Amino acid sequence: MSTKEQEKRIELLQGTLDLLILRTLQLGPMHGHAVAKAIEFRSNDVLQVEQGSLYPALHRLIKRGWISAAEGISENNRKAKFYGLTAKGRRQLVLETSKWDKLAVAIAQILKPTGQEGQP
Amino acid sequence: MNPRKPMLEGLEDDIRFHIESETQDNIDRGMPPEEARRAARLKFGNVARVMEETREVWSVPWIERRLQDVRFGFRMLLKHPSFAIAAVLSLALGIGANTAVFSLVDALLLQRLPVRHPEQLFSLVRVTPQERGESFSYPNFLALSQNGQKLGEIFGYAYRTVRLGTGPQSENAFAQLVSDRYFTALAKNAASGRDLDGPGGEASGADVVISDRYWQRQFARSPKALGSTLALNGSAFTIVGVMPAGFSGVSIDYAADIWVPITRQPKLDGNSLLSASGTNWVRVMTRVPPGLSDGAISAEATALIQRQPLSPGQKGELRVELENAARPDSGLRHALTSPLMLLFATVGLLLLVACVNVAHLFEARAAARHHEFSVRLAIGAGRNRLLSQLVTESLMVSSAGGALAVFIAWAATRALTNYISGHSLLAIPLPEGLRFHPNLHVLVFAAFVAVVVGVIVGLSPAIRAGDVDLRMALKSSAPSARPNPRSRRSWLLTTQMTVSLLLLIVAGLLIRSFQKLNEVDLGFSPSGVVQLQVDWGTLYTDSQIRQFADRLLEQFRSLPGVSSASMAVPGVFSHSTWQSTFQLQGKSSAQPVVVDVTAGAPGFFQTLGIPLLRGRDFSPLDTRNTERVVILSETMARTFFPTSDPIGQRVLVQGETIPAEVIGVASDIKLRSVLASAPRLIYVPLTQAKGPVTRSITWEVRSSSPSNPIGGVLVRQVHQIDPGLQVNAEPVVDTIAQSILVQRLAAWLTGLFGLIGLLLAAVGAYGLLSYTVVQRVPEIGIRLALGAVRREVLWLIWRQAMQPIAAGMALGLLLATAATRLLSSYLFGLSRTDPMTLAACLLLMGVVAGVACYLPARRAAGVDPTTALRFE
Repeated sequence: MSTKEQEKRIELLQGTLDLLILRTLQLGPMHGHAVAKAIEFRSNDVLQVEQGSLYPALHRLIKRGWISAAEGISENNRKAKFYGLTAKGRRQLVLETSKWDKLAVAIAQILKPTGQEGQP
Repeated sequence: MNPRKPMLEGLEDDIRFHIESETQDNIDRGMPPEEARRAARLKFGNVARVMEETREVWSVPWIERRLQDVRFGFRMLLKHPSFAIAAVLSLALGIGANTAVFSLVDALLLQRLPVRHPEQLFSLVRVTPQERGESFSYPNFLALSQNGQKLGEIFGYAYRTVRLGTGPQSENAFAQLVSDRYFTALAKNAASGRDLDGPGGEASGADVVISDRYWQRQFARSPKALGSTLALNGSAFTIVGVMPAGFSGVSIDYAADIWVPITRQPKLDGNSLLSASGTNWVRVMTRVPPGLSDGAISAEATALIQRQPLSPGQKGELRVELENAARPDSGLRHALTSPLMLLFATVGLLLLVACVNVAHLFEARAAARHHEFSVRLAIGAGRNRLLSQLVTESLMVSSAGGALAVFIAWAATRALTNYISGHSLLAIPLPEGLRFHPNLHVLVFAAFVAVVVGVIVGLSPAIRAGDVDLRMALKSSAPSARPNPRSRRSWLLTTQMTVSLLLLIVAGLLIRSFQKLNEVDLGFSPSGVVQLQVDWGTLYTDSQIRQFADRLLEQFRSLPGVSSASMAVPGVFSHSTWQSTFQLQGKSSAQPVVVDVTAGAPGFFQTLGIPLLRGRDFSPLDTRNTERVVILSETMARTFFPTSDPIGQRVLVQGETIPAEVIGVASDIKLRSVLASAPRLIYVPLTQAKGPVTRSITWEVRSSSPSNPIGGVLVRQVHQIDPGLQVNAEPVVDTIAQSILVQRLAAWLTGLFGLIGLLLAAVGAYGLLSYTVVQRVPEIGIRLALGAVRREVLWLIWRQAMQPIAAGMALGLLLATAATRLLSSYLFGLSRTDPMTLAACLLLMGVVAGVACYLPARRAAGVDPTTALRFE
């Protein structure tokens, strides 16, 4: 992996992967690879997910009852596991999204004034 | 249901599908297939770790990880069975010895009576300025007991050995004579039937209660036992109850099988002590309810006793004190507590040696697994995980050791108790309570020791295993990449040598001391002499016994092989003592002094081989009706007639007013104890003995061939006259051996522990050096290639190995000179710095350690230089 790429891509914050998975699955059930692809695609490849780390996260969400897994047939006609949001997961997504928004606003507010004060 | 399994089932397929999809995407983007696959894998990350982390999501993390550690540890141990066996055996020996000794400590010092609130129980003790007595006379007990509530729930008891049953099926058993309130105060009701308390109990007389054990043994738990008749010393009693299992009275030494109303004492003994105000035989206990202070009871009891008719010396002087009796009463406790503590300290040292041994092994293993640790750290195992893995492994080893230890303790104590019972080394039957019982206390102890040992032994190499320089370690497995544990391990070796030499010196001193004890001049020659005693029961009167005794003596004397025979009361090394007053006649200043008395028949001195220094022996002409005569021991003669000739002097003995003439002086003898100095002893003719001596007559028979025991012949002689009599014939050497059983066991056991310690230390040295030699093969190869002589290499390796050992031995010797100060009171006839013993221990240790180091050193010298260099 080149240095240039490293600069372009941002590693995920702890716990944000869960939120991204939930948001992605809002579009409908999909298999693991599709989730990874979707996250990368929708962030214009800025967010880098080590794809393997998706699986512990998926299972963590299943354990909490926010998503469920079911056997399905993939677009290229193969048996695969499809993950989908549960009702509980939808509620959680709303909650997490609003939490995230608040956090983003707060962090932005902290960062912005410092930049202005720093100007002579 | 565990949701984990189905969820994880498809995980591998899922991941494979993921990577294949990614690969396909890459191919679609125009990558060549090989590169597409590689890129997909790279992007996915470490499959094994992902699977691991996903599994962890579903696991109960802590237990799961521990189980994993255990599984892994198990595989590692199986991979190196010799390491596992050596470690487990070392610990099993160490923990086993500790468990065995602890089971005795538990039984003797920790166990409390199996009754409700044992801490409320107190023994009443009679205290005068001169002595402390545990028993009261029956009239005194009645005076205390009839005062009722002010003294708590007060009760009395006494022990008797009784003959249970009649004919050939009869057996000896311990009986407890008990007063009213015994059962209620102890809060022990009969498991079936009733006890002896309350109306219809003590008063009705002929009722007894039996133990669960006896019920099982004699009646096979049949309910018919209740109401059946049982002969006790020939008198008939009726069984009215069975006590619950596990209850055997209030003593460890005498586990009662039968409880008899104390008012039946005359029936059991043949003579009544119920109105004897001068004989103290009733032990008194009370349960002090909350709210009543033991001080108040003590004062009240003292006042009550002082109102009784007392001898002049006791008036105003005699007090009653209370002693806590939560623990079962035991005479053995006094005798055994300090030897037991000594033994406990010894096995503690042994455990230390074993631990160091196992620490050695773990250190060596840790070094050998250095590469493995580095790899595990490199692929992302946390240091804590590594630590917990190593501690888990050592805990597995120590737990296995602990489990085996309980078995070893059981087998060893069984062998020991069988040895003691089989060689009649103990005068009383070995108390049931002192046999090895792996009860909860003992198991918890073994488990506790195992866990502590496991954590300590595992933690120390584990902590250092975490300090690994990854790059260095992974680059090569060359010795330079390893931490240098040599100094640390030679420190361990030094410790081990120190402790095991200390152990060896303790053992050596105790063994030498026991040898000296056996070489002590007793003043008589015990070998070849058999002492015989008859339990007369209640059927014979004193005058019948006298006739019987004389007849038996004649028969013994005429037996072939018997060189001489006599009678005495008490016999030598007997458990009974007879003391009486001695006073010079005619000197008003002379105060009566209390001395030991032995009443002997003519021939006593000859039979026992006691030299008669002056004067004459008793003769058949010294009878009840002739002039009183007495023979003095040498010490007596020297004390009371320092300047004059004692022969012909007149003295007052046995409290008589008629003076006795001194007719002889006999050489001093040890009467009761090998350790004590010869007592002040006088001899009187058996015919002139005062007091109830007849039933205690002991026959002494010397046979001309000491190797041929004559005991059986003597017993048959008695049975020709009355086959129903209980006879005990015992070689005097056995009786003496019994009296020094504690010293014998202390010497044997510490000797055994010392040897085990030595063995463990030798194995430790051998193992360490073997390991070092393997490490140094390249270096040795170079030395040899450069022209070193093999003998020099051997000498070099050996000398370097012996350095920490020599340091350890020096330290051990230094420590021993300080630590054996605590041992002084156990040593007889030698100083704690006995040069012979110390030299022997040093020599033994040095030779064993030298050999243990020589073997690997010789192997080192045998290295083939070409192979060794290629190795590097």
